[in-house]
Amino acid sequence: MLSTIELFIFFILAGIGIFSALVVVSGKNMFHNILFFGLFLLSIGGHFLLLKADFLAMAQIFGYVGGIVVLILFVVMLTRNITEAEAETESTKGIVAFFITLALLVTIFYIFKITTFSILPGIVQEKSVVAIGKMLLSSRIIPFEIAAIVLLAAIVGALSVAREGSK
Amino acid sequence: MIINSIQLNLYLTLGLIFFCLGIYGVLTKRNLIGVLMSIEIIFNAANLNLIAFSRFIKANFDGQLFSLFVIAIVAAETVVALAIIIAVYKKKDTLDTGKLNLLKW
Repeated sequence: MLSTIELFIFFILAGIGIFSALVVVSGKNMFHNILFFGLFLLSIGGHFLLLKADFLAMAQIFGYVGGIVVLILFVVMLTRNITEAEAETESTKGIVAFFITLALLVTIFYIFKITTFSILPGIVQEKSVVAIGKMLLSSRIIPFEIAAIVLLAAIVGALSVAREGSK
Repeated sequence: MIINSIQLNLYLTLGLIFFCLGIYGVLTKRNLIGVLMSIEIIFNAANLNLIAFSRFIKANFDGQLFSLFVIAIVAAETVVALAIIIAVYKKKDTLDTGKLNLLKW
C-alpha cells in the first residue's frame, strides 16, 4: 500500500508545495509570486494523482493552472505599478500575524492528534472518472446544474462589474 | 490500517501547513491580488483534505465530487474578484489594501 517510492514522491511534492506557497505569501515581486502560485497548484495536482483522484488532478491543472493563473497574470499586466504596494509590510503587523498563525497551527494540529478517525482497512477504488461521471449525471445532477448556473452568473456579473468604470 | 492512518495524518498535516500559510498571507499581504492568491491557497488546502478523507475514510467518491464543486465555485469567485479588482483600480488607481477605504465611513 505505502511503498517507499510513493512516500518519496509525497515528500518531494510536499517540499515543492510548501516552498512555493512560502514564496507566494512572502515574496515581493508580484510576477514571481504568480509563477510560484502556478507551481503550488501543480504540486497540489500531483498530490491528487498520488491519492488516485485522476479526474480531480486534471480539473486542477486545466481549471487552475490553465485558467485562474492566466487570468491573474492578465490582471497584473492590466494594472500598472502594482509591485509598489507590496513594498512595505509593517514589521509589527507581520509579527502579530505570525504568532496568530502559529497558535492556529498548534491548535489544529493538537485537535487532530487527539482525534481518532475510523480508517478503512484497505482500499480498492474503481476508476474515479467513470464513477464521478455517473454520479454527476444521475444522483448528483441538481448540484451539477446549479454549479453551471453559478458559473454563468459569475461570467455575467464579472463583465458588468469590470465594464462599469470605463464610461 | 496503521499505514493508512499514517498516510492520512501526513496529508492532514500538509493541508494544515498550507492553510496556515494562506492565513498568514491574508493577514500580511498589502496587495489585493496577493490576498486573492492566499485565499486560493486556503481553498487548495481544503481540497487536499477532502480528497485525503475520501480516500482513507470513506471509499466512495463524495469527497472528490465535493472538491470538484469547490473548484467550480472558486473559479467563479476568482473571476468576480478580479473584475472587482479591475473596477477598484480604475476608480482609485491603487490596489494597496491600506489605502482602500471606499466602504469605511
